[in-house]
Amino acid sequence: MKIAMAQIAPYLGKIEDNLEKHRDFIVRAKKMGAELVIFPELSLTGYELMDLVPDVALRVDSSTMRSLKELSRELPFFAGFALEERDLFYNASGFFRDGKLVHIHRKVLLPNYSMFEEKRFFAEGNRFEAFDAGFGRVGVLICYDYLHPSTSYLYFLQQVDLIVVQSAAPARGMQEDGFSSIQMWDNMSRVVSKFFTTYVAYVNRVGFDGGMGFAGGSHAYGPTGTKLVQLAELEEDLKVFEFSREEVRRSRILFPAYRDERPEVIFKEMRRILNED
Amino acid sequence: MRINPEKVEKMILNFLRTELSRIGYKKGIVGLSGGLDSTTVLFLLVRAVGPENAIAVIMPHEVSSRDSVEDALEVVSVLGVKHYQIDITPMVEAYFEKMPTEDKVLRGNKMARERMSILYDLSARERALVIGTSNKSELLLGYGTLFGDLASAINPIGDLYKTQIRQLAEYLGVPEKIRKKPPSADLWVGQTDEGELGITYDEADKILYALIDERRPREEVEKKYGREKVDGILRKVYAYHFKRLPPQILKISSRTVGRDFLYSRDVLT
Repeated sequence: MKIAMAQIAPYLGKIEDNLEKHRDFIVRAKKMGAELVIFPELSLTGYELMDLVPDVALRVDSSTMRSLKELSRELPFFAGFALEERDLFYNASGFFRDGKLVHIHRKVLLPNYSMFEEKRFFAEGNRFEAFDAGFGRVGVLICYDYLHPSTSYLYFLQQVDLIVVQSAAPARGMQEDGFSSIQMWDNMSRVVSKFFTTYVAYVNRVGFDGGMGFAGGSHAYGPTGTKLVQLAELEEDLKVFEFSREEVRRSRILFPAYRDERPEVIFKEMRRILNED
Repeated sequence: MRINPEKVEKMILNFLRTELSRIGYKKGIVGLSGGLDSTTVLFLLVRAVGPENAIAVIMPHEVSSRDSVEDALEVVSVLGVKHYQIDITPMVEAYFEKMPTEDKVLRGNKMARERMSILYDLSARERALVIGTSNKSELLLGYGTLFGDLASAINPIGDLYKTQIRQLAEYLGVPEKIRKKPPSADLWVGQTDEGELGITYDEADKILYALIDERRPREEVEKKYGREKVDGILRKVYAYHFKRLPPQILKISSRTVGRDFLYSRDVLT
């Protein structure tokens, strides 16, 4: 099965235009033979929303959601948006398939340091729940969620076949060999895919919000830790990689990390550590 | 602190194209002194939007060095861009006839603001966006005139130190003559940045990079570069912080511009 990575540059605050861009990339992905498309973090709204959040946040019963559900009859996809639920606003991701919104992930770890101030504008999610996406088990992480290996570990314990990472990561830390931030995300994917024996699809956005440039550099790794596809840096791109459930099985025969994991010991130890002062 | 010039160029070209089209402009306009920063920005602008969409404005004063104007004219002809050459002496001196002073800084600030005023006038006439040319070293050291050379719509090189711009300029093929001459605001005869700042850019940039980019403790940086130099630099960084900010607005209401009325620069454009 081919999975498409849609590395787009969303328009800040312009949902209709972004919806059009999603439609366009889905059509292109379908022509490439893809059966699933992954869009980056806040792909429908843009990233630097700040006080715009309540104006652009989507409710599950909104007309934009209906359009997204409709669009998923073309191809299933993951998209990112600000989500409004009971007067709370989340940085969220939705999985849409066959006219339905199948799964929502609300970003748990909101970066609030250096150039980031997401906690000022968003409520925190509190679940890392894997789900059956039809072709396999999937866990979703949004950007900073993924920079803490503990979150991928929780999906590892749920035996996911694919970790979808949707990101709006800026290009920063210029050095002689390029942006150090791009290297950082790649390092994480190399490690997570290999040691948690799972596919990882990291889809980052590009373009600029308020002078902040997003890096792109999206990539996918297979469950043995090999890179399957690399997208361009700093410009829109669309590429596919081959996903196979059989390959996940093979990786777990080669390296039975899940079988040998002792989550009950980890759990006991975590309780001990958290109870210590 | 060395950069990857290829990646920096790509990012800057994307930035210039994106911001111009977002604002609905095709053209950019640059005040060209014939020095490293403005020449580098003009090179980048030409690569981003083509020579037909780049405008250079050369604005000498009678105290400006002849070489500067000649270098600027050479850049303009090499790049094949439209240019204006406007002598600012009459406007500036008309003012100082009424308000005489020998204070070099007052005179220099007036010149910088006269240039800004011309750039913004031409920006409206030409429908061309004013592209800033202040680098990170100058911004951090506060070495610029508020509402003068610091004014611009977008600045593609404000996060690059002077020494990094030298590296980028070499990669872009900026003439060696321009890369090698001593940096100068050229506001009075014999003025050089390094003479005025009392430190070379090579050294200032290393200190700033350690303190600001790498957030190294002050003591560690002082041990390496000497207390006096580090003190001098930090004093400038904080004393001139106001030059990097919009004016301070007194908070009275529940939602105040610049404080809790928070939108991206690119909101709904």
